[in-house]
Amino acid sequence: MLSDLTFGQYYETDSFVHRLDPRIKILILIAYVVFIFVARNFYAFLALAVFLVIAVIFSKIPFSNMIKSMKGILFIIVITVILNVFFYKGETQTVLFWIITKEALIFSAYMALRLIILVMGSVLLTFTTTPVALTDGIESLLSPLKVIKFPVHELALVMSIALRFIPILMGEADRIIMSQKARGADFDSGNVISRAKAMIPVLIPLLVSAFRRAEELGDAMDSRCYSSSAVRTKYKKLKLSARDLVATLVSIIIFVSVIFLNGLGGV
Amino acid sequence: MQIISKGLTFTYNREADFHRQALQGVDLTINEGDFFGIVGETGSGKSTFIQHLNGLIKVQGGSLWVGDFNLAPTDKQGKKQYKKMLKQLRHKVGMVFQYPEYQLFAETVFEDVAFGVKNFFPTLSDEEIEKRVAKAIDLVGLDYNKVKNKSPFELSGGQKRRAAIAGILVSEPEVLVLDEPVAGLDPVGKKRLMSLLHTLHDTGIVKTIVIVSHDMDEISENVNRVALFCGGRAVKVCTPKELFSQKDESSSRLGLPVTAYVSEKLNEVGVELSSDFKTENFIKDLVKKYKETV
Amino acid sequence: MKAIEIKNVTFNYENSKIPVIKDLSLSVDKGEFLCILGENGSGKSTLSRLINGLLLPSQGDVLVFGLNTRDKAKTYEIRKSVGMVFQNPDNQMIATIVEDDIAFGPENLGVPSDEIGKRIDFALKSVNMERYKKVAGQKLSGGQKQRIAIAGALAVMPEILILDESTAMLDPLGREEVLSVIKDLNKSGMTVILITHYMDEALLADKVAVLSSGELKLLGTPTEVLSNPQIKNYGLDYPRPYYIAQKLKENGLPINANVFTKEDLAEELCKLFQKG
Repeated sequence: MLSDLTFGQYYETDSFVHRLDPRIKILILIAYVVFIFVARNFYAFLALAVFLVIAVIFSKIPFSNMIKSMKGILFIIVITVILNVFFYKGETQTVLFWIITKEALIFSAYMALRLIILVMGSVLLTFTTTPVALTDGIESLLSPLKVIKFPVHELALVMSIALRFIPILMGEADRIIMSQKARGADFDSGNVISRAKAMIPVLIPLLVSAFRRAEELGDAMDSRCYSSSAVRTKYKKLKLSARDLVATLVSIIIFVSVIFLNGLGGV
Repeated sequence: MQIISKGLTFTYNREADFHRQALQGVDLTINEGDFFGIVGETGSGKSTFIQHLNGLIKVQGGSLWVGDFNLAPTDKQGKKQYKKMLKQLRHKVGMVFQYPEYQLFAETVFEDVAFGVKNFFPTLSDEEIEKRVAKAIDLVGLDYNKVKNKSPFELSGGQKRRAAIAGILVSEPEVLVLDEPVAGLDPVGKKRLMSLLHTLHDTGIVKTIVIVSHDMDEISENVNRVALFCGGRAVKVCTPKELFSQKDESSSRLGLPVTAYVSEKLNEVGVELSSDFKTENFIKDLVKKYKETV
Repeated sequence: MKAIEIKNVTFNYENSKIPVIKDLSLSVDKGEFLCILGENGSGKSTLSRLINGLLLPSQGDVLVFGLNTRDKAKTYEIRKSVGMVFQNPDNQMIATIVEDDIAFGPENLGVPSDEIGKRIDFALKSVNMERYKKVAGQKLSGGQKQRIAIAGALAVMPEILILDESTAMLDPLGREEVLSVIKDLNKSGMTVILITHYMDEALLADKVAVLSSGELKLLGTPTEVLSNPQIKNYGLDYPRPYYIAQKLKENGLPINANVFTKEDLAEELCKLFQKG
């Protein structure tokens, strides 16, 4: 069922990583992604992978869950690898079928590795951070933009509402699909065009429902004194702690070591 | 069509670690001609069960027969054949979900109601389609000429629901399954819709009706047999009178209809009433009883 | 001073000439429990939105503790004193986690963060949901979600609570939970307006108003209104116990037919048969 998608859903438990300030987690992830593409050799990758493993251990999230969350993007990884294997232009001789070069194989392997640790890193963030904390973190990180009148709070609110309503609308889509199926609708035969057409009886009620919900939500927000110009406070203020300092230091050590390890030679 | 469920089991997300067993072996027979009620607390498996009845959920374990249709897919049966069977089944078993007006989508009431016929009988002529649509709209008590070119979204709440039900009746189902059909309607709207269902049933336009309801008065008033769902099983299948006369935990949590409650209290002071718990019969019975004692 | 005064209010939506509310006048005392009954499309939801200024009257005035909803400068003040709970429990929660959702109102008002924490605890206690502070709202039952919605309104510290068909989508258990919370709130002084078409809920109120096609048709105590044969013209019906009692009386049973609950009906009949 659509509403049961697990990719990146918050995993409720109490751990070192869960308790980190969301801003720190977001910044570390951004840096991590950058360094995934900076890393040029096996040792550098190893350092980044070890960092990920340590983070997962400290997050108390079972490795099996981390691996399961990869299922959804396995397809993308496979496609990337295949494309790279065939189309990467290497200089040395071919090793297979006259077209696949040694460089291509190595390059593809790195590409796959990059994608896997990139996705796992991001999933770890969403597993250990509630959507609310995530949007709070983004809001806080973007708050300097308020100076140039960028609607930071509104953006964060829109994000958190979207996150909240995605599962509800997916459940609703499930229900509408079922009721149209009961009226004989067929969603999985015919060509692309007729399949797209078949979705109209689902999309229109879904849209109508989304508007109805939006209206009621708007009324509910107004009733609770929402106003974009108000001087608002925050219930949960983000506060940095010693924990965050430790995490930052460890990350810096890893990232610096990646730079050093890169010096050992490239791909 | 008789519906026979034996040991029906179902688990959501069977493979995931957060799976949830919704049905734990449902044994239940609904006879042709029944006006059947399904009751039970939220999460007791009622909805999952009725979604099986026209193949919206595939049978995982146990067996389910709806008339001649075997809904548990057999190995011999190919995918194509199973799909073909589903189509036949779905036009014979109409399914009205909770708040069915939320499925309306077309530009006009006519187009919306016609959706089902066009899907089930793609070869019908335009005249034949119009005839059937007109009949269905008429059946639910809407004025065909007035509403056919209206947008379904312009109708009032009660009318929308009727239009949505017409969209199911148009394929002339033998069995009609309704999940909380009167939820959200005002008292008069409720009465009208229930009497519409009785008319469909009494005239034989729909042979069997199955309703899911939380309202015990509605159940005792309307159905001839009832199944009580609890923890993914049909723990009791009996008449409403039997259900509401037994005192045990699973039925007492449901609450009692007014008539059953009063009967129970009268019973405690030694007055035995023999009628079923339908209001009119209950009144007659009480009047008779009173005249005997005076 | 009256909590709410609705004076000759007419309302129609901009794109329509047909008024949804027609020349309606009604007032609610502080601490009173008013139930508004009406069929689908009678205008009862529109009326509730007129009270806290979500909609403004086309003609006439709505005063909340003397403040006119037309006065834009007072909108905030009015919304602070009128809490509102809507029909669909899924559409009112702004945040994912219960406590964050309840915090939404006080945050908008600029309440300091430790005071917000206190208000959350108070609001959750008022609806008997203390245990669910850190839970994701999506995991709750319908009745629990509606109680959280009530808590969200309470955290703004309103003096009036409007429930706009808030029990319509709940199962009997959820309905009971919500009603018992409302009763308790009213007992502790909250002015309550309950909009519904469940006749039995009207019995909880001090005063019942019946709306039909935008007009106030009946106003009185619950028993006065529920026993008025006219209610059938307005899409409503007698509560079943009352209907049965009336029928029995017509058929010659000497009982007090003015009963509205099954408990009272049973008591009357037991008395009758024990005498005989």
